[in-house]
Amino acid sequence: MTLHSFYIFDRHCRCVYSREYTQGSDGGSTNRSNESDTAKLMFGMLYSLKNIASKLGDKEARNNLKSLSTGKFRLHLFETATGLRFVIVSDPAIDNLQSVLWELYSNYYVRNVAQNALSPVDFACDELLANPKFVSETDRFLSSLPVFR
Amino acid sequence: MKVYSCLILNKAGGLIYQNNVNPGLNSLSSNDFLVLAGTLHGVHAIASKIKPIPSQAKDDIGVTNTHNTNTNLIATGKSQNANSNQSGLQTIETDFFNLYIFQTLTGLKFVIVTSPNPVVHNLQPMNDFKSISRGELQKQYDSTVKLFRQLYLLFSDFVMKDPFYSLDMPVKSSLFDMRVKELLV
Repeated sequence: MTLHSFYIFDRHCRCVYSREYTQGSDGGSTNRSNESDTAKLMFGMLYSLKNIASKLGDKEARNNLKSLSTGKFRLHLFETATGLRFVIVSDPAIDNLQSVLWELYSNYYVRNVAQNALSPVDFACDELLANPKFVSETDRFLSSLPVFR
Repeated sequence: MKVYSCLILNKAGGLIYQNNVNPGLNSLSSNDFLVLAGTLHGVHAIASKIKPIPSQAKDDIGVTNTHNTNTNLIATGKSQNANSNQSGLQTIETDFFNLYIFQTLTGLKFVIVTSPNPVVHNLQPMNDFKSISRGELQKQYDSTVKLFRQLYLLFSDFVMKDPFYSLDMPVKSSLFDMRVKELLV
């Protein structure tokens, strides 16, 4: 029962925020693996599976990809109307983190980044989401969840 | 759990069999299904290479798995679990369907598309973080693995034992068709 990492991809398919949680005392890393192969492969996977989901699903209603799993991990995806993608990597036993991802977006992202006048509207090509308030608040929220450890 | 559709992919990712057993999915052209099969094959391979777990990044999770099952098979001579899909993509959950992948030791992939899990699907209140359900999807995966085994059995009996079937080519057997319908409807 663990959450391994948390990523945000912007609408230009770039990883603007990456947060990895490790079991050790250092507590993981922030924005260290935005350009890593893992983040890129993960995005590519979600992107092509999203296409499958919308093709196979209902014509009228939008069919959202919610999660995918392998034997080792489960990826939870939430896509906002503005094209931001929130991704959490967890243990395969955790079924549904849609509510958590929604909370991360609607409460923490919107309040600390979208409503922040000093924060850019759109991330430039080398800009990362490094708002300390956002980082500490999402950290506190995620680590308070019963599924975190 | 209702099975909508069943696909079989050969070891190169080509679609060799496709059967819509129950209505519920968008009807796609055969070309779209070929694209879908190819995408799944690629994504399955990518998923087995991803190591998203920071603490375990050092050890080779996933990569050695198929190798181990095969070497065990030769060393012990005992039959192993037919499912060699331990590190690749196993399941996809969306609002309207779940998709499951089962890979045999020979690289053949069986894909089943089912209705979504009623326990997990949309029943969780949006502000309740305390009762995130655990293991329900795993249970459903286990029950589809049982279906996959039956399907594999049918495939071995009615396709592989057919003297007129050439390997990795599309399956055109009415007998197999009939048995698959019996199993999944």
